[in-house]
Order: sequence, then structure tokens, then C-alpha cells
Amino acid sequence: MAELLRVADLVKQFDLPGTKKRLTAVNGVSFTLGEGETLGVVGESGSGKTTLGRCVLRLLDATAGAVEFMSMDLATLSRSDLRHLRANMQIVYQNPGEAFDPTMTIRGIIEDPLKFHTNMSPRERRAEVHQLTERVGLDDDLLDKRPRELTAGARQRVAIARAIATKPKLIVLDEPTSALDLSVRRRIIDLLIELQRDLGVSYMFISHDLSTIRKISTRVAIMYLGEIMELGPTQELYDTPRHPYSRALLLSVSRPDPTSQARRFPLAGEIPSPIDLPPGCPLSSRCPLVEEICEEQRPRAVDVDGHNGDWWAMCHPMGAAAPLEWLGRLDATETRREARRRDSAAIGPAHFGRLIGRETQRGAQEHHD
Amino acid sequence: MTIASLGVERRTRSLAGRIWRWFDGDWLFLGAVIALSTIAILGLIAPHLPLADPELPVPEDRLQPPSWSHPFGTDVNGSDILSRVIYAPRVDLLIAILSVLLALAFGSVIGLFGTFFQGRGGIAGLLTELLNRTMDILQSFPAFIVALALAGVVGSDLWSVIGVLTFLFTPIFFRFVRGEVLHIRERLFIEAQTAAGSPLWRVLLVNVSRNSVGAAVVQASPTMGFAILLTAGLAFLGVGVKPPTPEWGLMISSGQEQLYVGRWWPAIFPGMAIAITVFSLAVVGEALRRRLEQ
Repeated sequence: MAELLRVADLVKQFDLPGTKKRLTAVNGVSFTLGEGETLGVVGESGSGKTTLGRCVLRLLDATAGAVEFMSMDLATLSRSDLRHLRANMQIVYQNPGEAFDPTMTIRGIIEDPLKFHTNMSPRERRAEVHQLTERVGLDDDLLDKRPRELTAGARQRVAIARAIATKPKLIVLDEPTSALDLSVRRRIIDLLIELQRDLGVSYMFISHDLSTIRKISTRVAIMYLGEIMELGPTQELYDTPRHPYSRALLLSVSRPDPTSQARRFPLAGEIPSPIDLPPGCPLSSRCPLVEEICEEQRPRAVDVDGHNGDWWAMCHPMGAAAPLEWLGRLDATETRREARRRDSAAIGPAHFGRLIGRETQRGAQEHHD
Repeated sequence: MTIASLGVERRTRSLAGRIWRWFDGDWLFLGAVIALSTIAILGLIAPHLPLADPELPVPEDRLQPPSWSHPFGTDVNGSDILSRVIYAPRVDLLIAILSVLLALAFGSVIGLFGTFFQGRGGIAGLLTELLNRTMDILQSFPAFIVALALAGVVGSDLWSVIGVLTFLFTPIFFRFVRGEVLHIRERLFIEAQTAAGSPLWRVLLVNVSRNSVGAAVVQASPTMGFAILLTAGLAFLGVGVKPPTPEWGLMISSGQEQLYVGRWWPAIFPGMAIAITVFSLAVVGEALRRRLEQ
């Protein structure tokens, strides 16, 4: 698979107005993306997913690091070269209601990229717009309407038609389905998969919806506080996540199978502020497996047993432990509720009354985790 | 039994019906539009109406009270006041419309270019800062005082008054456009246009401008009312258009001395014309603003 995109040590910080502080949204992210591949990017809100997507397209200028697209360093391109390159890299936003100029017609919105990047005559553009609307399953009658007259699902189809108009090599999909109903969401995902098969376009699919990511991505990157904690092949990573954070995130989803033996993985407390990042591993303040080195040094990417660069995690203890031993330690980590159940069973019912008071409190906290 | 009572939606396709739907039961708005168009049309066709020459002095008819031959009476020169009131918009509305349109054009262009690059650093950022402060200074003086001073300097013919008012109104429209541009340039669709590959100048001239001049256009109507007041005020103080031009402010100015001796008609009729025009312009502006916000 030919390499299309290479991101190296990307950092994006924002100055906070009125203070000397800076907010670190993306903190040293590296990954590559091949042609026709889909990289899923998951993380909670505030983990820097969207900022990462914008830096990759240079809609935001990165603070440090490099983005190489089609073997060109985006940071060194001139304004007009960058503009021409945009024919090959497009974006679909989460909220298409906000992403369209309200004074434009749907036809104008889809036609715009053709105007910017091709020498088509108005007649050719018109024909092309009709083909594109047909391609994404839109009704021709909608072409002369304004964005606000369309449903959310139809708007997202318009956004996709616009994004594929110039046959780009990369589309950043920034939560393209989170604003949609479940049934509409499924149809949009199917459309995206179909388009990828036909056009060979690469996707960077940003979402916090784990099941959608699982359906569409070949590889998945798990983000926390502006860093990729773990990146690997989707199926394998979903089955046995190696990073404590991946485990906490992936096991936090309710499972369709109630008999499943998979257990929740506990994290303490809240996400630290991106303004005062911990010096070591970003997860160190919350991780149950934390060691001294985690709080002092930022971890480096460590390949997961035998995978050469296509599956790695940023974790000190994992790097130090043997693979099986590490998995054992992850599995042995109990949630507090489990520990308490075990304790109360051992101690007996005499202590039970005393524990009930704390039970609700802890239960609530755990729910929050 | 009417069609409406059967629950069938009646679609009016006639011109009158469509106009009525547009006014949406807003009587005040409709009244204001009718008043303004009457004043404007009467002014336009005035030379073809059976009216006395508005500038012709008739010494033997001086200060006649309203009568059948002079419905609004005559002024101190013996000219027919009805005729003068009807002719006056040819000057007043011309000044108002031209100065406001020019100010709208200048203010929008400066507002668009001057604001879009604000806070982006460099020479462009410095220039916009300079521009903003200049506009602040211009607006910090009371409008009428500046108009008075300028009219005193550049002279007092029709075109000078238009020039002075344009200069005075440009910051008003600049402000409106600027406020909108600051808001619009942060909207997601601006980034989306860049992402689609639009050149920056096109984003500014097409997307930003289309979404931000609406508020300024709406402001045009009440500003025209302001323009008429200023024109009348300048003429009243003797630095605007000169007598015997039929102009409402001039007429009030020459008529006010007559008020003391109980001759009310030379000042009251032009005063009413100004009041109706300015009020109607304000009503239209307000109605348009509400429609824009919907």
C-alpha cells in the first residue's frame, strides 16, 4: 500500500487570550495513512481529534512537527500551491448546517470545488453536479434549495458530494455521522464505504462512536489529551487493547452480549486540563497500573508483540513487561466495585451495612469513569 | 360558505395578493411604504401637475392662509406652499438617497476589507487598526456639528451637502458591516470554503460580503430619515441649500418667524412632511430588519 500521508510529531498549541498560558490540543502525534485506507481516530471530546484533522489539512497551522501529503511538506507550500493541492484533500464536517454558506444554493455548494479546481465550462459543471448528486443518492429537486431547507441526512450527502467532486485522494471525515439519526447514520456509512471502494480514496475518520469506527476503519488511533495512546489494526485492537486507556475506553461501551466475560477497566478521577499537562504519561494521574517512571518521562511508542510499526502503544510498563504478562496484569485489574464485592464476600455480612453508605457514592463515581 | 371556512388553503397568485402576503398584516409598514411612495412619486411628477411655480414670488399674495386656491396657504414671498411641499423631495430625497447609497458603498467596502484581516498581524493588521481608530474619532463628534463645520468649509450647494452627508454616514455603515464581518469570519463555512479550495479574495468578496451587508442595507432606510433631518437642519441654519429652492428645512426656517404672529401654515406643513417621511423611513427600516432576522 503506497503511503499517502505522513504525520510526524505534530504539535498544536493555542495561546489563551489574556494569559501567558497555552492550551495544548495536539501533543506530538505521528502516524501514516496509506492509499485507499481508513484510519479511525477515536477519543473523548477534548482529546484533540478535530484539531488534528484540521492540522492535517493545514486549515490550522501546526505549532511544531510535519505533515507530508503526497510526498509534499504542507508547511512549506506556498498559498497558491496549497490551494491547488486542496483538490486532493477534502473535509466533511460534523455539522453540515454550519459548514455551508446559508446564502448559496445546493447546486452552488457542490459546484464550488469544480470552479476552483477544474477548467470545466458551466455546462460541463452542471452535468457533473447532476452526476455527483446521483452518485450520493440526492434528489435533483434539491439542487435549487438552500441548505437550511434540507434534512440533516441530505445535507451530509451534499457535503460528501462536494468533498468527492474533485476526486480527492484524502477526505478527513470529522464526526460526519454524529449529528444524524441511527438509521440515517447507517446509510451514510454505507455510502462512504461504497465510495471508497469505487474511488480508492483514503479516509481519516474522526469519531467518538466506537461502533462506527469499527465498521469503517482498517486501523484505529486512540487519542487521549492530544496524544495517540495506541494505534493498531481495528479488529485486533478492539479485541485485545494493550494500552490501559484503550482498554478503559473500549470496555466502557455497553456490550450486546450480557454473558460476555469482558470486564470494565477502571480509571480514577477526571481528565487533566490541557493547559497544565502532566510531565510524564498523560494518563499517569488516572492509571491503575501507574509506575514511577510514568509520572516522570513521556512514554515512547512501543510495538505490540511482533507487529512492526503497524500496532503500537505509548506505555512504559507495557514496554517493560513481556506480552503475556502484560495482558495478565491488564485482566487482573479490577474495578473498585469488583474489589469491594470480593472483600465483602470474604469479610461477611456483618460489615455490609457499613459499606452501603459508600456504595452509592462510589457507584456514582465509577459510573463517571 | 367561503372557501377558507372549508379549510382549503387559498393560494393567492394575484399581484395584490402577493404584496399583501409580503406585508403580512403589518399595517404600519404598509402605511409607511404608501406614504413614502406617494411623496416620492408626487415629487417626481411635480412639473407635470397643475401646481403653481414653487419658486415664483407673487408679492400681492404674501402670507395668505389656506384657501381653495392655496390649500396650504402662501409663504412670505407669496409662493404656493402646497407646491413647495410637493417639490421639496426633489431636493430632500435626492440628497438622502444619494448620500446614503454612497455611504453604504464606501462603508461596506472599507468595512469588508478593513475588518477581515483585523487581528491577523502584519501591515494589514496595522492598517485596519488605524482605520478603526479613524472611524472612532469621526463618530465621536456629534454628527450635526461636523456637518455644520464641513458645510461651512466646502460650500453649501446641493453636491456639497451630499458630499458632507456621505462623509458623515460612512462610519455608520462601516460599523454595521464590521460587526457582521467579525462574526461571519469565525463561522465554520468560511473555513469550509477555504478547505474546498476557494481563494481568500473570493471568500471575502462572495461569502463574507453576501452574509454581512444585509444589516447595513437595512440601516439605510432610517439613515435616510436622518439625512433629511440634517439637510433640513443645515438649510434652517443657512449653511445648506439656499432659498428660494423648495426645501422643507428652508421653508420651516422662513416660516418660524410667522409662528409668533399666529401664521402657522408656512412652518407646519413642511414640518409635517418631514415628520411623516422620517417616521416612515424608520418604520420601513425596522420592518426590514425584522424580516432579515427571520
